[in-house]
Amino acid sequence: MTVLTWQIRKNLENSLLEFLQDLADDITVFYKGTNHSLDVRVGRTIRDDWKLPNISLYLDTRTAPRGFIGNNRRLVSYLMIIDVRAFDDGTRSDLAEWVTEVINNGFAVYDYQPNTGDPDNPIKTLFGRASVVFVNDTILNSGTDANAFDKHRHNISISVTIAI
Amino acid sequence: MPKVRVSISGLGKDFIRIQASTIQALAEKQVEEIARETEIVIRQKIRERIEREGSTDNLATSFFAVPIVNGWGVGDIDYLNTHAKYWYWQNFGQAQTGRTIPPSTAEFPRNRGSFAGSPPESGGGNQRWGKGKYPIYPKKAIEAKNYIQATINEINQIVSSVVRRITL
Repeated sequence: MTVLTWQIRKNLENSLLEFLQDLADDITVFYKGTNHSLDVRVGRTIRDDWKLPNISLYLDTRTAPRGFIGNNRRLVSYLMIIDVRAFDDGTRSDLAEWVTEVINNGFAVYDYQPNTGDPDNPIKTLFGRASVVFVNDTILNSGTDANAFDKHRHNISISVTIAI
Repeated sequence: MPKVRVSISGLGKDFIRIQASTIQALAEKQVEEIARETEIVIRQKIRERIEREGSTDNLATSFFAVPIVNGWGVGDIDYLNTHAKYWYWQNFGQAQTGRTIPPSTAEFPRNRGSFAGSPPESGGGNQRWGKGKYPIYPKKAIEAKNYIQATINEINQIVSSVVRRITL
């Protein structure tokens, strides 16, 4: 019996997570006299252990329109959502620009397999390269009395296609 | 490559004018149709993301194609803010303790109400929220539905399909 490998949703989310985490490890966000590390997560809603400044990402939907008239080849793309959450408007703006800049040239996509010996480090093999088209890039205004995670938030949506 | 010469008779100086007005009429027709197709797509994206049964369909039908100064648009923000105030929260999501979560908070008691026929517990029985004296204190985050981004993501397909199909 074989172990089920990760499918494209988890592969894409984890590939982008690792890509951003590697880059985030090299930067800190300076706010009110303190350096803060950047928290990069996968998820649609905030969890208790997330902290600011935060970048969260997830895959929303897959689209696969017919590529050409009379041809069954599909042009598959994935809508991915990235939320940037910061302490103030300045760091929100800086982080949003940083994210758009670093993902603009795409990222490597890996095929992951569960690692029974070391569950926190799945086995990965290179699957292809993701190219990115920006769908929207928006500051979100949730009002001045919003939760700290919503006060200074930026939403970036990308359409991802994978070249194998 | 051999040159091909085409002569058009009968239109004279009007040829360029007629061509320009034809292209303009076609473009206007296509832009309107793109907006109408986008209306269908955004309504579909909203409906396929509904989690509970018994939807009033208010959010989906509050999005419609409207003529604007430079052409056509879908989703009049003033209309949405009046008739489907939750459009923004539903699309982008909201953290658990966000004080602006609808339908009410202690700070905005004018929005108080109750679920039909029972005290406000969870609304899990698909009761509609109506008149009453109870505020709602949100305990869960609103999950982002991303119906706007999902629609924008299909704009190229909409444009391509309309341009292929709509002619004068």
